[in-house]
Amino acid sequence: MKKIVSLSLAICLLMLAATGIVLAGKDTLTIGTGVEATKFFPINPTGTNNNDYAIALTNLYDTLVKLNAKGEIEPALATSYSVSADGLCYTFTLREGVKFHDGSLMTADDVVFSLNKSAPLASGKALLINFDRAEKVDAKTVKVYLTAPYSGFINGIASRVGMIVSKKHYDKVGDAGYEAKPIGTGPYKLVSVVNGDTLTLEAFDQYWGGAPAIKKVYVKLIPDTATQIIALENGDIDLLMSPPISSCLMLDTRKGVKWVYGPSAGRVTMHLSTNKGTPGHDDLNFRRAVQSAVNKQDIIIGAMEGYATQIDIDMCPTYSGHPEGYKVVGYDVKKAKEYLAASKYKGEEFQILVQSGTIYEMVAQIVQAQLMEIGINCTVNAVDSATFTDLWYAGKFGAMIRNTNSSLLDADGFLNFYMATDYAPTNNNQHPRTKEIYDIGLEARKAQGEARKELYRKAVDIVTDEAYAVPIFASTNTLAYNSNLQGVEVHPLGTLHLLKLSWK
Amino acid sequence: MFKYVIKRLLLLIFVVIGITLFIYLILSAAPGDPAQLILGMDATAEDIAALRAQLGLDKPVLIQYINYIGKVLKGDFGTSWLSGYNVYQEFLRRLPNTIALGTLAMMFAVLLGIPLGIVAAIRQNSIVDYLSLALAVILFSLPAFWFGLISQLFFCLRLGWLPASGVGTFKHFILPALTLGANVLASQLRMTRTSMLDVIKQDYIRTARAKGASERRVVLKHALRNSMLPVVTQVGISYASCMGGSVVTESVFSIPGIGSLLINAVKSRDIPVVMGTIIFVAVFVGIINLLVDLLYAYIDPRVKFAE
Repeated sequence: MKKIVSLSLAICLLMLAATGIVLAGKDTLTIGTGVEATKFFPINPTGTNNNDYAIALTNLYDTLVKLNAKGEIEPALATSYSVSADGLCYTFTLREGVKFHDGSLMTADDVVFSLNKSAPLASGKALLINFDRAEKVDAKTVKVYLTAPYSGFINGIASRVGMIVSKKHYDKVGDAGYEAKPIGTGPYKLVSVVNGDTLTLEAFDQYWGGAPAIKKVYVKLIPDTATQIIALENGDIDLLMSPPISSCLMLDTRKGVKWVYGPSAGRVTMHLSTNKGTPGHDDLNFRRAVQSAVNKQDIIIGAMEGYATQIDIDMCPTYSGHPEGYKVVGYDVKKAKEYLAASKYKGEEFQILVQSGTIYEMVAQIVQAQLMEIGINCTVNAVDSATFTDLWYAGKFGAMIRNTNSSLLDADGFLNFYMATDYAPTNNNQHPRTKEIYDIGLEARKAQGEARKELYRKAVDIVTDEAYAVPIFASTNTLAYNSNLQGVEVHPLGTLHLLKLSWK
Repeated sequence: MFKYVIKRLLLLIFVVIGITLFIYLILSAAPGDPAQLILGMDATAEDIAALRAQLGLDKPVLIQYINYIGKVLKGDFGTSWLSGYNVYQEFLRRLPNTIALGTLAMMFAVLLGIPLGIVAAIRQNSIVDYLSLALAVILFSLPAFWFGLISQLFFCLRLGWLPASGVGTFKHFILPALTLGANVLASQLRMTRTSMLDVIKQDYIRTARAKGASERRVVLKHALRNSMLPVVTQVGISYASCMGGSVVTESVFSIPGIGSLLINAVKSRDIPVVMGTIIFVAVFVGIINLLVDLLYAYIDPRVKFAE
């Protein structure tokens, strides 16, 4: 028995010795996150998942222009750009002397290659709307042609699909090779990736915007939200990505840690199904009853501790092209009951589909209570993300609540729920007036200024009249951090620009 | 005995085939299309169909399974559909964390649980017995996530003695091992006590005492060894379950082990990772069970293996 005990002790100690990682000191930064980055090549044909929110891509690569924390476009790899009068050609003047992580200079060929390769991919088609081709004019000028004007196009250039990669490196290593050894022009280089554990970034001292102050960054995966907060307070991590508001409020009484919040590019909306077999099918009165019975302020207080902005259309107030003067349906229980009495509803189950373990599950539970109050037999179907996607795309729900991000921060994002073309999320979720809304959306892509806003107003008014959706709130992004860290800014896309950070 | 071991190992092959087939069928029936999940919402129907064909998902489930097992028999466990890493290498990289966690948890449970169980039995109905019962009930009924969280709050935040998450040093494993071992300790304690009580009531114990053997000799030489058979079985089962079953502890303490690998793969329908991990865990559990059976013969020479 003694032998067994000492043998297992020896094995155990050996194993522990084998799993060593270097702990971060104060010339470095350790970030805690609940979402793991798995892809590092932004224009990989097999997709990049939700890498808008991944710190890695944002800091490994640059775009021609970038979206700052205020949601404004600022110069990056292009020092300036101009748009032709017909809106069909964007001319970018490239910054000189920009280097890739392998020391080679970024050229107009790299820009043309990156954009032309990105646009036909699934994510490119969704974000580089109306893109036709990119052409090199001379060593420092690139022109991008559109098939039809789209005023939100520049936001697409600033998104992950507009990230510039090295053509020379790609020609040498291909998609898989680039994924394994990513090279960008960003302020940080990728040093190592330990799946399920830590991702290590190192400052790129030849960065065109100046060498970053923080030399090494460790991004640690901490899935459990309670552990994330303890790790921050304990000093295991210096900065925490997207902690829930309720956790942040607890930090108010703690010394040495701070938290900040700001508007997100995401909005939380309940989408009603009009598919056959659901209570919302061919029953406007039922849908209007639901629309009037939802008390959004109660939801914002219950699920977000009051830290979110109520919305009445499926767009964040920060989106470009956000219309004004649209119809608003307020919370009115009396009216809701009248609508329900006039509807064909006979007490059938009205099921709200939501992803389990998210803040939206709580939103669904509050909505459930509010709908039950007016006599709707409402249930919540909280499932894991894979099942959620499956049921959503198959159109198997009475209503569905999710947070939808617009990487473009543009009003056009709302069209994702009213696509009349082949699109997985809407193929089985067509409303009687989807085509009409879609056509207005297409027209809005070509329009500019007030005319564009007017078209979006028309489109969202149809959604409100038909009660296809009950928009609830524009989300809030959060960051919690060691109070000695400076330059922390909440980005609407939930990412973080490490270049701006430094220690006091 | 050699023949017995070979027989058991051959049997393990059928067990693994049975388990993997079962898991493969369940995964195939579960909602969630891996191709859609990999490509995201922007993918067109053609993109998805092309990826499904590339991954072999367009073939009947049984054919998919046979293709998979065929590759496994050649030593190819495939790569993760989502992240592209090699399943076998990833498993080997994470295995030390899970083994370290499981072994420490078991040591904690065994080294505390068994002696406490013995004392509780020989001092039946004393204050020690009652206190050990209270301890066992408390440890057994605490959910792992809660126990983990409270211990983090106390030892990491209040006292600042231990890190709250991750791996790296021995200190990182102390709290997770206590959390994982708490439940096992409780069952070890009660199992040892019950088993000891059965044995010390036997005639041969009375005989040993009548012959003038010291209490220490009676307990350690005559009673303990005889009462260890059910306890050893329990230790084996608990250790094996630590391999794939420490999901909650690994998640609360952010330990990149087998449990978290498996749970993330299941969530994203990453079939090569799920299948590969299940095969490794099944083989590991099979081998642990075999070792436990072999240990029986060492503890109780009356046990004979059917050859």
